[in-house]
Amino acid sequence: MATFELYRRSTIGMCLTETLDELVSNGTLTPEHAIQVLVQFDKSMAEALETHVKSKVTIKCLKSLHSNILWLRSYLKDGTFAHLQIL
Amino acid sequence: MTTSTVYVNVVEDVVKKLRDQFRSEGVDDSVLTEVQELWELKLMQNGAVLERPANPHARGANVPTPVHDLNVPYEATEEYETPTAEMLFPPTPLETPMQTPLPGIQEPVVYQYMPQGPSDYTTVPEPGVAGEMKLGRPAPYMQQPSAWMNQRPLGVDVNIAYEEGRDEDDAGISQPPMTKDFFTLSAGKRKREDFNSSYIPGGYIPQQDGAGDFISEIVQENEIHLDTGLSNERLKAQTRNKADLVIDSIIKSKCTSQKISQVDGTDENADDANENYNASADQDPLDINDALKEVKAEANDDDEPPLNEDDDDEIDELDQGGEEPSTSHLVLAQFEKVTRTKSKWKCTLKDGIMHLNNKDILFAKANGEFEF
Repeated sequence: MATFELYRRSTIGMCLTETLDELVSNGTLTPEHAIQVLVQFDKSMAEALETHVKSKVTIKCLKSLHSNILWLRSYLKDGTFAHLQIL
Repeated sequence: MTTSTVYVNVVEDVVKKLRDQFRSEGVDDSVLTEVQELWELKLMQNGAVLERPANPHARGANVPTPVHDLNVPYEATEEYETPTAEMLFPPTPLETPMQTPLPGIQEPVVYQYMPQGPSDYTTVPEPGVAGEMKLGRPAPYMQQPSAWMNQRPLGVDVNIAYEEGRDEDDAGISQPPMTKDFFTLSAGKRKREDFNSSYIPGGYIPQQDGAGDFISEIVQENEIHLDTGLSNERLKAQTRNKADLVIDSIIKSKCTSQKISQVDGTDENADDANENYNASADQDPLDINDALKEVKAEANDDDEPPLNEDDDDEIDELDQGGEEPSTSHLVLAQFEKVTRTKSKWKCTLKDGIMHLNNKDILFAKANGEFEF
């Protein structure tokens, strides 16, 4: 079953990737096993986000822009966040 | 559940599910343990996980330094401390006299040897703490100078082995000459090099690099020839020819042996491969950008088509830009719905990780409204 690999780009995913890279390059782990670890990480991460996380986020960005690069930046600067965390 | 708790759960879940699989494939458990430890270490260093999960040997690192070390600046936990000079070259008790620049100051030396009191026993089990005790240099309190203080030459030997000869000479001389040596030695590694240059009297330093090796051989041969009585002119011609040949061979060998690998950017495909997402269900801001850009291009086609020519180039450069910097803001999520009405965009996301202002925020659902 194919997994969503997008979570590998998160902090936790990058830490795992770096760890696996180090272990593969010094021969402790084979590349195949490293891929198995990553696939399992994808599954576990998706499951954890589904079950353990309950918070809702609303994002508003009301400034209008002309180029996509600027849009990304002011998405963060001018957007108002209403973060409601349900524990 | 906090972010850090979720991450810790994910790590444990991954390791737990992989353990059986690795065992059945013949991989040792220690490998998986190493993966877990390194992974957790990196997460802690990144600040994504606030506290190390319960671990028998980790707690001891946070024990506060003993009371009598109040003058010592706080040292980070030994396990994660970046290697300092003291750790790489662990100071033995005998080495501490090196830190005294003047003969009159005795406290630092004494500090290392004093029976340090009951509070030490609480921290003895930790291997790293022993090193920390020796790091307590600034403690200035006086102790009664003990008899061993007079054994300074003995204490100095370990660190300045090359001065063994001098020590024998200086045995009867008072302290100032010893302190003079301390000054030169305090320069760190430099001291050895300086000493080497002065160690061989007469000033001749044998050449360590390879440039003159062949030529020196020829010179030696020529010196031998001189003894056998060849004429000077013939000698000079021979040496010149031989030297030329040798120089040519040296140059050729050096030219052919160096292969400089090209590291500038001819192959950009590697970066593209990393950008291959699952197109069906997941999206991140870059992909949204692409979708939005296409819509924008369609809307503006009637008015000013040429303006959009360079837009894709910018995005492509973004994609091929290589590794994103660690503090770049990012939202990784799965989209449920993305709609647009004129210039107003609405999207519904689920199961996402946001990395904003160097912080991680997890969400189950996100509603976004953008106007641009």
